[in-house]
Amino acid sequence: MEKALEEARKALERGEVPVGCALIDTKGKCVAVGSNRTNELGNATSHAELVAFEALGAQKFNRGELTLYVTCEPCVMCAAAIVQIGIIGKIVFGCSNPRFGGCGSVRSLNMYKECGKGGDDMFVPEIQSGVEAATAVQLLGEFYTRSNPNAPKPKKRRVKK
Amino acid sequence: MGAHDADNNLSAAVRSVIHKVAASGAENGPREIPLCKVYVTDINPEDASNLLRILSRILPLSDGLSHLKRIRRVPCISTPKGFTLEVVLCREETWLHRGQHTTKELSRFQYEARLATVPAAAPLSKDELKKWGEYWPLIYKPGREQHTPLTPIELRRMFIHANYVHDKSKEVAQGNSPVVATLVHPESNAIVAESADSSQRATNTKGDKTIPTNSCLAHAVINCVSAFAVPHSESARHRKRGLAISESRYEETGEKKSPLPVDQYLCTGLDCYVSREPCVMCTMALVHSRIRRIIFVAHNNDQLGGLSEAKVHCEVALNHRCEAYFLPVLAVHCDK
Ligand SMILES: [Zn+2]
Ligand SMILES: [Zn+2]
Repeated sequence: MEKALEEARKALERGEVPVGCALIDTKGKCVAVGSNRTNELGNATSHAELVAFEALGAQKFNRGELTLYVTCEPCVMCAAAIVQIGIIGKIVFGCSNPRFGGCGSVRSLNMYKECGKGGDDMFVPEIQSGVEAATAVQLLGEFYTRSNPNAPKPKKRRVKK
Repeated sequence: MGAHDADNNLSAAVRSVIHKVAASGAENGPREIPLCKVYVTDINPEDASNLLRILSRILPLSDGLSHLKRIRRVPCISTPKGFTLEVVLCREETWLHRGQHTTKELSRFQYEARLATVPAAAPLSKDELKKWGEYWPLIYKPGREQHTPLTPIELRRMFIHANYVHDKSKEVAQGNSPVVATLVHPESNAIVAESADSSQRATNTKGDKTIPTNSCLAHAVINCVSAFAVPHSESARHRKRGLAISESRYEETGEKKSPLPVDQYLCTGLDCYVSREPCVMCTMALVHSRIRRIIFVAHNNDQLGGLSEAKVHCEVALNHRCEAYFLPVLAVHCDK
């Protein structure tokens, strides 16, 4: 989780909503990290989890082999990605995400078990929550404090052509 | 039969088969009130403006409580003005984690934080505003959820774009799912992005149990949203490229300039056409991108459908919702 928090801090420095994650294999080795890059890339899908999956490149893993440590509950999109990529056996997250959470808050992973679709292609991981939640919330709070109208805007204005 | 009659027949045929998927919230009748716990405090009316300024900085309501009014008046005869003011501080969870930090700034005001139960989501009708508002005064934005019937021109354009992704889906390279998605700017009718699935799922050999991770999430919609995404540093150049796609395929607009506003934010105002119902990941990607409408041609037998099954696009807890339509173009052909 330290690695994930470290990634979240980097995101905060870049003016992004501070969420970070790390993918750890069975031997405890970190195989990829990711942090939120939605503002920088102008792409709403560039959440920490999807950035980390992309960083895996063409490596191959067994079903449910990796553990995902992420500072904030994965959103509905990332939760669906985690289930579909099939290589995540366990999700460990910090604070819950009441607005977008796909691991219990807005939707739960149970819907994938119940739907009877996806078959062998997916893996529904187990979940552990509340790990270092206070630090994760603290970071998010810092972001919202900084992005208030009085503070200098971290976002760059788009250039007119 | 004149061109005009043909147009009318087409829009009528489309109207008879198009189906709005899981209408948003209040249209489905009364809902249970979603509730959550927040910290509130009584304050001195003289402190109100100062305190509100500080609160909007250190505990902004934009963090999931933007449907609540910050302050409410409570009648109280024992005070000189005849009322006291009550203020929402933040969610229970936020207070527990950030209490120490906030109490420092709040310490010069007399306050006593206590828990209160309030609606967790915005009301979607006047009726809900009235009932839910008994917990706490709420902000109601009428119109946002109202359903306006599709016009004949809209129906015909929807058919053409739906037909297009359906046709293109037959050309997707083997080994991928046969799915194509486009993003359409509705005012100009121009396609501003187009992508096919490149997930390579079918190339997994049966005996090999390991999963190659490089592309299995490259669904058509994700590819399309990413193709349209503009890094802050290169906005102008990318916009031109997006236009090249639309110009070659849609001469009818005759526009030379990009139809998109210079400050286009993600996919705001755009419609997504996809040949097969998007999965939950793709649907949420479109909701995150502030898409206006999602139109799909066929149901999804392989994945949990993000629209007809998981109903992600009309989830009231989310800050953006969109319309979704099922438009089976083959049924329209039969009718003609
Ligand atoms: Zn996410
Ligand atoms: Zn998908």
